[in-house]
Parts: sequence; structure tokens; C-alpha cells
Amino acid sequence: MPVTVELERVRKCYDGVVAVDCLSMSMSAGEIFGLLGPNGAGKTSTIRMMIGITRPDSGTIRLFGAPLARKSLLGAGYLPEERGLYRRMTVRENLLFLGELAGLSRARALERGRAWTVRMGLERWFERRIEELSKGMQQKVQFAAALIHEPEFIVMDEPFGGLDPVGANDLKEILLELKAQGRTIVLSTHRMDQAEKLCDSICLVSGGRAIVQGNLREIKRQYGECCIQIDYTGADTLMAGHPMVAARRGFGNHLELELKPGADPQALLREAAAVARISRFELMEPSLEEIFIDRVGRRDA
Amino acid sequence: MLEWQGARRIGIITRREYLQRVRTRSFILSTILLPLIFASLAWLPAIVSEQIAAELGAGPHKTMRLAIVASETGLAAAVEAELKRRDPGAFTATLENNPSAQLRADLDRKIRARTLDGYLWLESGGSGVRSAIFARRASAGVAAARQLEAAVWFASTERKLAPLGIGLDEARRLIAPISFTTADVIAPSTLPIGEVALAMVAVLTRRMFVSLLSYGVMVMRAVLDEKSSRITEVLMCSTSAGELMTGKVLGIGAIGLTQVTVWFSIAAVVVAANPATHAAASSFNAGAGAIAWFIVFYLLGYLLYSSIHAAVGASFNSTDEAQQWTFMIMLPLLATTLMIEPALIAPNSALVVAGSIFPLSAPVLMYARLLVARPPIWQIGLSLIVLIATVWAALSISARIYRVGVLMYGKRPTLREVVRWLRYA
Repeated sequence: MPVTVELERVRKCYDGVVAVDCLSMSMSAGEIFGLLGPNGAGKTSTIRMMIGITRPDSGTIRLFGAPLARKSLLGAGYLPEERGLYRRMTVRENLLFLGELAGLSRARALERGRAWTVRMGLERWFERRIEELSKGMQQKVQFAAALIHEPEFIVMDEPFGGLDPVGANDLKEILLELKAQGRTIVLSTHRMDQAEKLCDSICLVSGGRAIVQGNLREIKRQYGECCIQIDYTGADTLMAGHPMVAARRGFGNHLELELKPGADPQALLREAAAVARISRFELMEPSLEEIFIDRVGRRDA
Repeated sequence: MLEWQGARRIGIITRREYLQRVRTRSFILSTILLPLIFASLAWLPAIVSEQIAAELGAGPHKTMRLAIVASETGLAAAVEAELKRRDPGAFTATLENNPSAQLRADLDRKIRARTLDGYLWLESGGSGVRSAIFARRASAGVAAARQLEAAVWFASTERKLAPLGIGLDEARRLIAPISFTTADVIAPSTLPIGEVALAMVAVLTRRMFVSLLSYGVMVMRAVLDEKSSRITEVLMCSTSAGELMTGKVLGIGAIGLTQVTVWFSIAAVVVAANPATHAAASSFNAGAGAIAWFIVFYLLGYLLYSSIHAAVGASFNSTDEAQQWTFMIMLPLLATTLMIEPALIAPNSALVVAGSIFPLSAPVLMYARLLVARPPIWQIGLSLIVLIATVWAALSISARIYRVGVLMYGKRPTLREVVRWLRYA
């Protein structure tokens, strides 16, 4: 897949405080990329540079294979964390204005705006002012505004905030649809459960630096191979004091093991099967949240 | 191509700023209704005094019923003839040649009963009229009294000249008033202006001041609104800070121009319709010149003040935070208002001249001087050059502050921080 966005050794300071430091990452077409991290990690600063709102102090950013330029930015859509719409203007006026500004003709902006409003189930609210809409509805309009010009590169900062479960599910479907169309989506969030379900790749940032990044499955595998759950029938002492086991927690017929680095789970399975009846043997992947807490906590310690 | 795209985006932003404001009820109210109310207020005194005059029976279009009392034979008739010669329709006179206390009491009663508007009581001495009393109902018109005085003087003088063998026509020729006018060899630097005209100039000048202040503040509010609603971030994804600020300043500037145009049109109609103000307007540099200069100085002054306001708006998070700074911006304008009065009375005094060149007060003071005086060309030129240079500097500095400021949330920045923003990429 072609690379859509590429950051190389990007650095940004504000008043002597380093917001982003030596950050490199890349996102490909047809991928949902999770930009994760605690509050104040530098996510918003990174996003702002990606879509040309601010410029990095050093390092380079390439969009669609070329250095950032206003023209190529027309192919980017942005959903900010805090909602930005004109409260006194109607849904139609907002979408028309933002669509035109993003390079659409007036007629096309109106057509696309109407289509998205229907898609979001807001057609009855098309001529209503934003301030008359509920928070969730405003969020949907914001969503439509970010996508109205059919951008190839979509950046969403905390897109699920303010949405009810049904709305969140609708949004998830749309994101997957956009991904299937080959668009690149950056999801910035600190909601790890959402990222886990949607993202193909992630970059975990903390203190302006990337701590963990890459394919989500691979990252999980790296972390997950050293944790095993076993359901069995046999002696309570199964695997106790085994040289490959770093930690052991027994709960009757349920056993949780943390393996030492380099330990082979297959060998362990064979040994266990030899002395007990195994009904379940599972290599546990840690949740993204666990990795997050582990890495960020370790860094802060 | 890209340049054109930028201009297109500025156009879209300008149009939104303009249309969103033009459609509001408050804009329509303040633009059309308010001046109409003021205009009708200006008419009110004229209408009222006409009503009073009509009530008193001596309105400008009514014939005055007059009695002329003189014991001297032929005098009353001569005065009547003279009045008729001056304005045949103005008076109808009944002549009396037997003055007595009884007659006078009778006439007074008739005035009270409103069957008579006034009478002339002429007393003659050795050589013609010695004294004349014009008895009338209160405030029956100054114009009538003046007419009567002139007529009595003429009639009396003619009668004095007659024994010397000077005929009526000859006498009139002799005592005809002299046409006396002044001519200036060196063109005066101040225009001869009456009180009404001065009041009108003061209104125009104050309008300039209010426009500069209110539209500047409007720009600041607009920037703060967008910043606090976080829409700036969305906009900056598809447009640059420079385009955003330009569109905003242009859109609100166009609002101001619209409002001023409507006001001027209403004012022109009102002024033209009222003979007193119409005459006054032609005594100073009114008309196309006054409007053209207003637009020139309004635009330059607006660009200056709105760009400063935009920078202040971008630097802070709320109107409250920005208050201290808006007051600082207002100070030079407030100081300027104190100089409007002196500028109209002594437009060429040193302080006023200096103020009309100093860029922060030039839009108001140079405009005031252009209305009431003929400032030297070099002063007008210098004022414009300094102003344009300042506008350019203010726009480029403000654009830099704006670019950084609109994305800065959280704590209120110090002046030193704002200065540091100027250096950001």
C-alpha cells in the first residue's frame, strides 16, 4: 500500500517546552492508524503538523509523497477534538461554507452536505441552527464537515466523544467503510478499547516521543507471548517452580503463568499435557490498555 | 492557480462574515431604523414650531391681519403701500387715523379675540415718525417685525424727502440699500461655517470615531468567538491564518461600509429636504468630497484598528481577558474625541495638525480638518503616507500574532510571550 503520510524526526517546541520530539511514523492507504497516548503527550501537536496548521521546528512531513503544501492539504479532512461549528448558522450553511472552503463548488458542497446529512440521519435538521442540535447530533455534523470533500487522508481527534453507543457504532461502520475505500485514517484517542477494535497500526506517544509503534497484532504478540492461561484437571502444583515460569497464579483448576524471556510455550504445553488433563491452553495477548499502562507507567517511573 | 485558490477562499470567508451579520435583526435595526428615528427627531422641532406658528395665526404661509394707526395724514397709507410693494400677500391692513386710548384698548381686545394679529402704533414728531410700536400676539414672528420696521422707515423717509422736491422713485433710488459682500484675495484656510453646519460636521466626525471603534471591536469579537468555539482549527485545515484574518477583516469592513452608505443616503435625503440644513451643508466641504474622504479615512482607520483588534482577539481566550488590552487600544481614540471640538474650531492649530498626522488619530482629525478647512496638500499627503505605512506594519505584525494566537488555548499570555510569537515559523 502506498504511504500517505510520513513524519521524519519531527520536532516542535512551544515557548521552550518540547511538545513533539524526534517523532517518526508513517501511515499507508487503507489503514486505520491509532495515535495513542495520555493527555498532553503531544497527540494534538502532531496532528496539527500533519494537516499543515502548524509547521515543525525541524524534521520533515510528507503528504501523498510530497512535502506538505496547501494544495495537497485539500485531500485531508480533520475532525478536531473540540467541536468547531458556527452555532448560529444552520447545518446547511455550515456544511456549505466548510465544503466550499475545502475546494468544492457551491452546488457540489450542497449536494455532498445533503447526502451526508441523510447518511447521518439528520435530514430533518438540515435547516436548523447548530445550537438547536444535541451534542451527539453536532458531533455528526462535525463528522460530515470533515468528510464532505471526500478526503483521502482523514484525521479524527477523539471522534467517539459525545456519541451514544448507537452513534458510536454508526461512526465505526463509516470508518470501516472509508478504510475499505482505501482511505487513510488517523484516530487519535486515549480510549484504548476503541483503538484496539479499529486500528491496524498504532503509535503510542508519551512526552512527545514514540514509545511503541508498529502493526498492532505484532506489538501484541511481542507482549503476549509471555503470558499463558491454562484450564486443567490435575494436581494443584502444576508448573510450580518450573524454570521457564517467572510468576504463577493458581486458582484451583485455572492457572495463569508469566513466562521468562525466551521461554517456549509449546514446550511448556507438552510438559503440562504429560502430567495433567488440559481443557484449555491459551497464549494471552495483553490488552492495549495494559501495554499502555505498562509502557507509560514505566517511562514515568 | 494557487493564488487564485487563496483569493477564492478569502472570498468565501468574507462572504460568510458579511452575510451572517447583514441578516441579523440588530444590523437591520441599527442600520435603517435608528437613523430614521434620528432623522424624524431632527424634523420634530421644525414641525413643532410650524404648528405653534399656525396656532398663533402668524405662520409663514398666512396673511397677517394688521391695523396701522397714525394721526399724520397719509402716513398709514404710505406704510401700507410700502408693505404691499415688499410682499403683496403678507399683510392685510386696516388704516386708522384717530389714535386714542379707546382705540388702543379696542385693538388689544381684538388681538386677544384673535380677530386681529397685530397693529402698528405710529407717533409723529416735527419731522416724520418719531416712534413706532408693533403690538402683536406673543411670538408672532421676528420676520414680520423686521418687515414692518423697514416699511415704516422707508415710508417715513420718503415723506421727509418729498418737501425737498424729491419724488417717490427718486427717493427710493437714493435710499436703496447697498449690496455689501466680501472677497478673499488669499483663499482662507478655514471655511466660513455657521452653527448648523458645524453641528453637521461634528456629527460626521463622531460617526468616523464610532465606526472605527465599533467595527474594530466587532473583528475582535469574531476572532474570539471562532477561537472559543474551536472552529479556527477546522478552518485552518483548509485555509491559512492569513487568509482567515483577511477574510474576516474584509467581511466586517464591508459591513461597516454598508452601514455607512445607508446612513449617508438617509442623511442626504434629510439634509436636502430641509432648507436650513441644505444651506448649511453647502457652506462646508459636504457632498461627494466629504463622502469620498470619509471612505478613504474610514477604510485606512478601520484596517489599522481592526488588525490590532484581531491580534488582541487571537491572543486571549475571552472578552474578559482581552478587556485590559481593548481599553489600551481605545485610549488613543478617546483622546482623539477630546480633540474633535478644537479641530472644528481651530483646524490649523499646532496640536490639531500634529494629531491629524499621527496615525492613530489621523482618520478622525484629518477628516475633521478636511471638512472645515483647507489643509495644505503636504499635510494631507504626509498624513496618508504615515497612515498607510502604519496600516501595513499593523497588518503584518497582527497576522503573525494571529497565526500563533488562535491556536493557543489555556493560560493568558504575557506581553513577552506575544512578542516571542512574532518570531515563530
